[in-house]
Amino acid sequence: MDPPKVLVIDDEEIARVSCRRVLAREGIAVSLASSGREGLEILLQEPHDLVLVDLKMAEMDGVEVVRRIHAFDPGIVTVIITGYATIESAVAVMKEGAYDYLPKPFTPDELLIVVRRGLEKRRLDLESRALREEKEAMERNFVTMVTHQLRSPLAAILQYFEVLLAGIGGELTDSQREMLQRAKDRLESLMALINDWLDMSRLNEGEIVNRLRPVDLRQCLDEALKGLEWSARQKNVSLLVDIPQDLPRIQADPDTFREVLSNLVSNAVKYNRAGGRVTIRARAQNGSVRVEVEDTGVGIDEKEIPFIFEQFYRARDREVRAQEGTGLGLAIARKIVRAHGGTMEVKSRKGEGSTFAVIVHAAPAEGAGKERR
Amino acid sequence: MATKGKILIVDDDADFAKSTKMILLADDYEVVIASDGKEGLRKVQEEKPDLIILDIMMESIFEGFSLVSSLRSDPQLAAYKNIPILMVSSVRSDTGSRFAFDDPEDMGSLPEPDDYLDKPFKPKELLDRVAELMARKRA
Repeated sequence: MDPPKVLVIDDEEIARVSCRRVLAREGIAVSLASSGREGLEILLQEPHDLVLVDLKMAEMDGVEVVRRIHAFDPGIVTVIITGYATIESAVAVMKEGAYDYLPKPFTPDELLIVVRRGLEKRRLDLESRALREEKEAMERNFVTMVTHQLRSPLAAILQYFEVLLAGIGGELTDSQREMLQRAKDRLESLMALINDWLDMSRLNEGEIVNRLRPVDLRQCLDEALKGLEWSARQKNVSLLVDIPQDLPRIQADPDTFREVLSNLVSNAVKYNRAGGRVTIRARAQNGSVRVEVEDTGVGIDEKEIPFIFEQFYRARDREVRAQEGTGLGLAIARKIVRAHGGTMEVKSRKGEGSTFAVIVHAAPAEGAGKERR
Repeated sequence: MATKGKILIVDDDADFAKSTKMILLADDYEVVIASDGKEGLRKVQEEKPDLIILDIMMESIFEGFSLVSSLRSDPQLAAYKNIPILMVSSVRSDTGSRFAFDDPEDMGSLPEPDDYLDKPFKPKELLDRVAELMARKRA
């Protein structure tokens, strides 16, 4: 390990030199400065652990030197050297953040005790700072690491299924193929669950609030629909969009709000009937915009409506349970909408369909012109 | 038999490397596997592959990226500078080839691979990307 570094700032040469002799014997690297200005220049060039500062100096006094050192790096430990007559001002300097003081004249042992104690404090400060930084970095990357730990084995297993189902590695009988396909489907829904759960824990309301800006709903919806058109066609469900041209822009975080839309529309498709319809409407209502997603699907039992936004809740209906789902989609959607300062409403009739509404603030009016992203 | 080209897979997940290898073998590529970044770098020089399939998260988060940056910018490896690199990862990419860390500063400025694929992938998806990268290299 590097030897600790101490800087001595004193305008008396004898004092500087004797400090150096005592400290160097202890294996401490010592630099000397004859004025506060020179001392500060040395600190700019090279970091030091501890600085001994004489209180009474002609050019810049010790109080000012300590203040400037701390302004530059509050982590440097400073010790004030002072004559008996100026102990009171030494106390004043300690209020400025000096760690200790050393009355003149002092013996080599007294100097060493104070310096060792100061260096020990410096070492502990550095250690705890390093630990704190490490902990913060771990917290920041925790979700990413968990994602990796959970997703990696699943990805490796799924990849084998993909290979087998593609017929690489040998022809399969129909019943083998069917079983492998089922196994793969189940794994994929496990993967979806992990993804949703991670989305949920990664959602940070504070960050959403910071990203709110005027957003063109139509554009946001188009992007959300991109991934859903295929599954709608598969299910023979038609998607209708009814958004007035003059709809005000909404105050939203485009990335997460798109998640909300895609979530609601995907539910509306998934729980629909073959040949059914999903209608997405929007209208302005005093300072807000109301977006509705209406389906012609299985509907929700009135008794169950209060619970559908809860994590992992899934309706009891057999037709609902027949669909793969994680029970997290609506919980995520509501969390996002709340971070937008908005609300969600739901109307439903069992057997006829449901309408989910999202109400968010319209963007504050400013000029015309469309947002380009 | 002449192959369509030699591909180096760098991945610390032996199962993933194996299934990827099977896909590539079935499409007439020659395949070499390395299980970490260091071995990867050695095999690049020994085997001179036509394409590298690289897992982002090997032992440490940055091992994959550091391999990319050595290949792209180390003057001693200039001969391998133009080998296309397809990055794969089971960490979902939310934004194109950049996968998501909560704090973009943790990522710093990282070298971009030529293409990116989320794990797991469908055999056809992989083969399409590989074919495209190979064609781009020849062009």
